[in-house]
Amino acid sequence: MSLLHVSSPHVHKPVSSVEQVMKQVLLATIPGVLVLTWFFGPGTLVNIVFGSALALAFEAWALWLRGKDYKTPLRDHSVVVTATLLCIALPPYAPWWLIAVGIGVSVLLGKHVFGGLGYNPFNPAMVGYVVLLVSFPLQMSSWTEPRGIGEVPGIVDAFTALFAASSYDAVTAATPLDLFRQNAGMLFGDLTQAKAELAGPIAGLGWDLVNLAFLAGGIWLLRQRIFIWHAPVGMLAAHAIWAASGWDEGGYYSIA
Amino acid sequence: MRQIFDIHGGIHPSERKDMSNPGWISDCGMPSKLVLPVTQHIGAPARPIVEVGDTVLGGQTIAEAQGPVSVPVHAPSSGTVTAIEARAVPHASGLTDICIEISLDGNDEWVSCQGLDNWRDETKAVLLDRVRLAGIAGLGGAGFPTAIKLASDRDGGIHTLIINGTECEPYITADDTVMQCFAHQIIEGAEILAHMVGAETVLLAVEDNKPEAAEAMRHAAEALDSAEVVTFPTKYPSGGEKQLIEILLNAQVPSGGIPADIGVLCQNPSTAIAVRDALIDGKPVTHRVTTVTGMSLKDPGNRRVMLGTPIKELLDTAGFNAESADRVIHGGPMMGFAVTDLDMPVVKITNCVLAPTRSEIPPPQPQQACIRCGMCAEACPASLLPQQLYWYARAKDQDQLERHNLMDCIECGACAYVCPSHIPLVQYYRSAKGSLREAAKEKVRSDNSRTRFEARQERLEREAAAREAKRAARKAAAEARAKAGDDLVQAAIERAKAKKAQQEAEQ
Repeated sequence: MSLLHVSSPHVHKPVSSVEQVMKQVLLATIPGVLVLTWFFGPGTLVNIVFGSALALAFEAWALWLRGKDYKTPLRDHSVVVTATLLCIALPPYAPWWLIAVGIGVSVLLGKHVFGGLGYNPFNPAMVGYVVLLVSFPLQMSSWTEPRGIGEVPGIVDAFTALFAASSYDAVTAATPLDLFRQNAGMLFGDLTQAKAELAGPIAGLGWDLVNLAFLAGGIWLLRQRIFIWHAPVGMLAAHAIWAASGWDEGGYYSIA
Repeated sequence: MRQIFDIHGGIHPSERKDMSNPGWISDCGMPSKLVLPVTQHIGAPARPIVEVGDTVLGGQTIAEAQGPVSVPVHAPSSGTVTAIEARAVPHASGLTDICIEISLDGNDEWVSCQGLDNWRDETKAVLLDRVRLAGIAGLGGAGFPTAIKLASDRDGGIHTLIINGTECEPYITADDTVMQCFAHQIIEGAEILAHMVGAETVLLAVEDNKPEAAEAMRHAAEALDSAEVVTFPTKYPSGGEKQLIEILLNAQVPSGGIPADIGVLCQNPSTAIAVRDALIDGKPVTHRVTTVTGMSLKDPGNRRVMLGTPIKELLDTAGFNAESADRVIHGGPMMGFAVTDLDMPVVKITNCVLAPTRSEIPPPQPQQACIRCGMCAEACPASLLPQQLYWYARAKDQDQLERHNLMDCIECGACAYVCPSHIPLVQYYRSAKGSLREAAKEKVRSDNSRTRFEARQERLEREAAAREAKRAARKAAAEARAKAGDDLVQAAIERAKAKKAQQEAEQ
């Protein structure tokens, strides 16, 4: 019998791996994605499927270029998390090239130029998002109207939109925050009266529930001890404090 | 009820303590031979005082302490010394040590042991000497010489003695068993220890996963007014000295300090018994209770085992199946180290020998990249930043490692336990600590040699200056003499001239 010589600790937390962490993050996006799909149609789902496939291809290519083993890291789901986060942030029914550019930038510039998994100073998905936002502002702000105002597209429409972007200009609408910016002259109260998009039970129609669903996913992750509350609460509190400090009875600058 | 406090971090690994049937002890029996390392403690090795061929009796000192931080080694039974040589010993780095091998005669004859009639009447110095000569070193696993710990005499003294029966490592039930079976002896030992250091309070700390042990201790503690049994929730590593003090007293041992700095002394239950046995019965440390466990054993349990018993023989008493085990661990699964050679002996710090099967404790998974999830920082009971320490250890950035208090790491392994990337963090820290210690030693060495060099330089300059001064003095003297000499010559010439002139005048 040859004895294994390894350092302590000899035991490890069961089912704890990078793969597991990434899987849990993906699971936590499900409620939000489902609510998004309910209000805005299957565009987000199509985005995610298309984006994930592209991301896996980019990841494999980048690993191959770097002379790394490209089979094992693909299984850690990290690049699927990146793709999912980016695709959730993109407008549903985004054209294929927008997603491709975003994923390419995320995986290659956001992740691999810094050394791959764990070495990225910024969230790769957000690097991709920022690049898209400054490069293609029109496509990035073309959201469809939520269920209850507009007609929600079907799955065929979603694929059509993916590869023939121009056909869906008609149903695009501004997001609630865009509405505030476009109507900077109106007070908060008047604007929510005037615009159906802002007349949700809590906030913007559809959007309030989308955000609550993502919050639910976040709370589940918190309970799974995947992250701790300090960073998100700190960021939201900072936003709230700054917004509150500019409160002027409901003008545009009060909330932006 | 005493209020208890929580520590930062900690983990809840699977305990698997039932496997070794806590509360029952069986005797390991007489092994064929004993191998007794001269260093079973932290400090200077003991010096063998027997020779090959000598017959020894149980309880006889076979190696004596060298220097203050050292303890002697005693023969656990009678027999003949058959070898004194370097052998593999239980050590995290797999080192060898001088070992005294005794072939036992089976008669188990002992020297006569003389205890103190009334230890209360003796001075602290006498008691300390007894503790030291009995070879007592922390039996919980650290092995620090107990007499040194008891002697440390800081300002303010010791107010609280903690008997640390936490035993938070998974699998191990040696302390649990000792507390259940020898509660009265523990209390007697605690009374002696408290008397020696002047502690007014004795806290008997037991994790709440050992209700039988807590009950036995509570019962025994009725005999000692200052003693109180405290139970607290099970969490690893509550048994770490600094963690336990925080749980019981809500006080932190300062970074780089020891519990005595805040007036606390911690001792293991078995150490308390050893102190009691040394003073009341006059018996040295020659046996200990060790947990032998793991799924590679048919009959795991707690054994009373002679120090020096080869681990292989101990495992065999428990029905060891060598085929199913691919590692044997000295100590527990969190902090123990893999045994490299089964001929290694059981020593004073051997609280557990763990022989798991491959499926029970699988081989380590390959290390992946750190994803900065921060779970390690959540788990660290010392409130360190394991992730930063990991990066600095990899970068060999010693300044940052010191600034992030690497030396306060207790190597409990909680960070590596939770790491989803399976990074062997403790291994990085151990190695980095070694380099820091090495660097500190190197600094002392270079400081010393700089001081020496500067002193030498100064001495050389001084000597040169002295020589110069002497030379100058000599020169001045010579010049003075030369001048004086010139004058004489001149005078002689003058005289000769005068004489000549006179002679000429006479002619």
